Amino acid sequence: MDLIVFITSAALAYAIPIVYAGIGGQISLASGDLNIALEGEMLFGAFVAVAATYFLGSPWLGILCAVIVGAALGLLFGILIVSLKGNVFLVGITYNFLLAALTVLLLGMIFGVRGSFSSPDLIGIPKLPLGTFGDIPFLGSVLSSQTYVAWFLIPVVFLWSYVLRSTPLGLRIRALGDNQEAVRSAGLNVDRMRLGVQIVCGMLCGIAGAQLALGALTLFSAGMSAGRGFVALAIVILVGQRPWMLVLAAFAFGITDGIGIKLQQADVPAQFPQMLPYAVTLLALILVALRGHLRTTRRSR
Amino acid sequence: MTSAPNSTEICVELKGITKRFGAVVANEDVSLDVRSGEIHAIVGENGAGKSTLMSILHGMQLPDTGHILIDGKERIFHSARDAIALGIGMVHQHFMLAPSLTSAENIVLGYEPGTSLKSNTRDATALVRELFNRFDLQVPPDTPVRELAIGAQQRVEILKALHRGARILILDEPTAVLSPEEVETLFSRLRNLRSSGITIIFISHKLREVMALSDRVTVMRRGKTVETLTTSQTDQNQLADLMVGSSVSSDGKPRPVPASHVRESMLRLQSVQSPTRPGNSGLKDLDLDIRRGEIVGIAAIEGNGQSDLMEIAAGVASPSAGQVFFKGNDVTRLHVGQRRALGLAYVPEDRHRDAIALDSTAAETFLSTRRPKNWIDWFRPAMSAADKARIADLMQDFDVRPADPDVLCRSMSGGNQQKLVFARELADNADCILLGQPTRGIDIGASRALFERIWRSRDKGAGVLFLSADLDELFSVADRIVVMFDGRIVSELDPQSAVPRDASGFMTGAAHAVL
Repeated sequence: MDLIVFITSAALAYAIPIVYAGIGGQISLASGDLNIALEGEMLFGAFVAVAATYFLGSPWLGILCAVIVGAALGLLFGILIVSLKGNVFLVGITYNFLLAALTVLLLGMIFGVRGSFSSPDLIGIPKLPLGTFGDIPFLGSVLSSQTYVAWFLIPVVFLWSYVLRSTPLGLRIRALGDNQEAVRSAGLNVDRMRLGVQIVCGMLCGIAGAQLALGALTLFSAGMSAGRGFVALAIVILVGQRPWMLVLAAFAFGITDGIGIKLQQADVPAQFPQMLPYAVTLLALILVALRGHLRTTRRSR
Repeated sequence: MTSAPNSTEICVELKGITKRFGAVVANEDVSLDVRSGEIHAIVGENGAGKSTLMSILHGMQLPDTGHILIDGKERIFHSARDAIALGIGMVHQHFMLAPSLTSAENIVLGYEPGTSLKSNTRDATALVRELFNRFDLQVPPDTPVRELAIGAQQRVEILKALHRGARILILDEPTAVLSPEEVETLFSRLRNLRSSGITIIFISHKLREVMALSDRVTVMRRGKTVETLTTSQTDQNQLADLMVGSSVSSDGKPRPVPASHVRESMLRLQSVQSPTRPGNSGLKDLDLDIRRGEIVGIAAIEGNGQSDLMEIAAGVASPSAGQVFFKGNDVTRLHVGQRRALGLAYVPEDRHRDAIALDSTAAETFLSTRRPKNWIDWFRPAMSAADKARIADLMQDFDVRPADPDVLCRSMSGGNQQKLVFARELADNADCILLGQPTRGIDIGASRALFERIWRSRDKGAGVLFLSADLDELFSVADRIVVMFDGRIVSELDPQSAVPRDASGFMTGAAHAVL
């Protein structure tokens, strides 16, 4: 039973930042400008959250700063692809490299350390007190170790799911990704909508980063996002515009990560478990591609 | 006959509109007045400036000079939204629909009930149903528009404009994509809309339709408005003369009788089948023989297998059963490139999807069907100066405007893109020519020129398969007409003795002939 508790905790720790970033990815996918810089934006959000929390002394201000900087990064991303008509993939690749390198540079300049920064003054995001619910066997210990940001994800997914499916805003975003001309001919401002989408995506990546650095752990280390942004991207491509499928898939990846950590403690070469989430991603992508291929060959005569 | 509009109040007035694109003058000193509650047709050849004028009226373009008056007040449109706010709605020739969204979602897009976060789009369905009843236009509200037939998609476009409060509805070449039955339905619906007080501006170059539908008609030629006439006081010949600026009537010369009567088979389809799909019957054991020196016309309503027939004949698709013979040889397994090498020419139905790449130049489009003949060709430059000169000549010859091999296809009008495709396909004197809806979106002059060439090719012994949604055109061009219904050939007609009306019964499956 300890094993299940361990794997579930590890899965949640792994999955929650992925879902936040993944919703950002879904918004960008629905709008037609899939943002592949989730990884970079999340990593930078983690850095900003740590730095701001350290200097301002409050994890809440840390999260706020991560969200504001995320919005700014999203706005810049939007300007690059919309106003300056940059290619969305090139800008995304540049963002990933640039932001990763920038965190290392700032880590040295601000904290004078290489690799990672941690301090007793660094306060993690508080955990939601559950009272008597925390006493539920197994589940209680998992749930009571979750932060406010982790719990906040539930209303966020509900809200996103509702906005996307049932509101005019969601309709416009979906129409934007489907046929920009249709949106333009409805007299809507396509450019402003695309900018807005990237800003929201950046904000969500900022929260993802804050949870990553101040949730289960309280530290920043270079490259700590460790491919989670890309896993989020892969999931978004797999599940499309279905928010709850995103949650499910992220949790499934989290479980493989948890199993991986356990295997690492057993007598398995460390590289194997580290490889697991990516191997699963690859496998899932191949399966989806095959299914799509079968469907198109059946359709074409 | 159409009834005269009950009002002479002018709701749209354009005065002295001029619009230039670089050196090209699209509209020059254009003036137009449209009365409330009338159906006002605007006719003109490709490139006469109809579409530019309408995009100015709909706020998509700003005129260089000139005035737009709506209900007597001068207005300046900075975007489509300004025009929409004044009740001007546009139904574009290429629909502006989001294909994976439902009809209801497309209709309310941008003008949803409620505010952006508070309302539920399910309210939209109710709202849209109310709209259906008010204007008697029906579409399934919860079906993604990509699954709808073209006619239904067009109704979604019209409903979209009406939902936005359009009092003045502009339809750009609305019949170009419709079957004859769908055209009839559209016309009766447009008349209904007129009775409910909607003013309709109808852009077309099909004079028969203009005569049947409109109250008044404005003729445009080379960017200028030539004349506005009351439809009941004019006829097709007068309009055709005004459109082209010389005495060429639309009916023109009679179809020349085939010169040769060689019965040798050119392209033969034997027991060809293709699968049934949603909205498409597929082919059910179809036999068709196109002989040397004849034009075989295909009459069918969209979705009855005629597109499969064209694609299988061309080698773009392979049949699920059956064989295709070209000049007596089995070519079932050969793809379109290999069949072209044997002397086949193919004008696909869907120009943008299958015939040209919008981002390539005219010359590249021209050479895209050429295949390397031997290994040396793979290492030669794809285009020589001689190629380019020849392409420029051919473009001139086929009246492609501009006749510049370096121009991007995207910047050409639809009619000129199509003429470029003709130039490519007809340049090499192919033995067998497959024409899928070749006159879609091109004007009378260009159609006439195409048919002259087709008749000449036929007289030299080519076999032609000609698919058209326009029955009048089929009957005036083809030597033999086969009617398809539900994936089978249900009738064969001789255009010398039969009339278009004879075909319609077979096309809907209402009549059955024993073959």
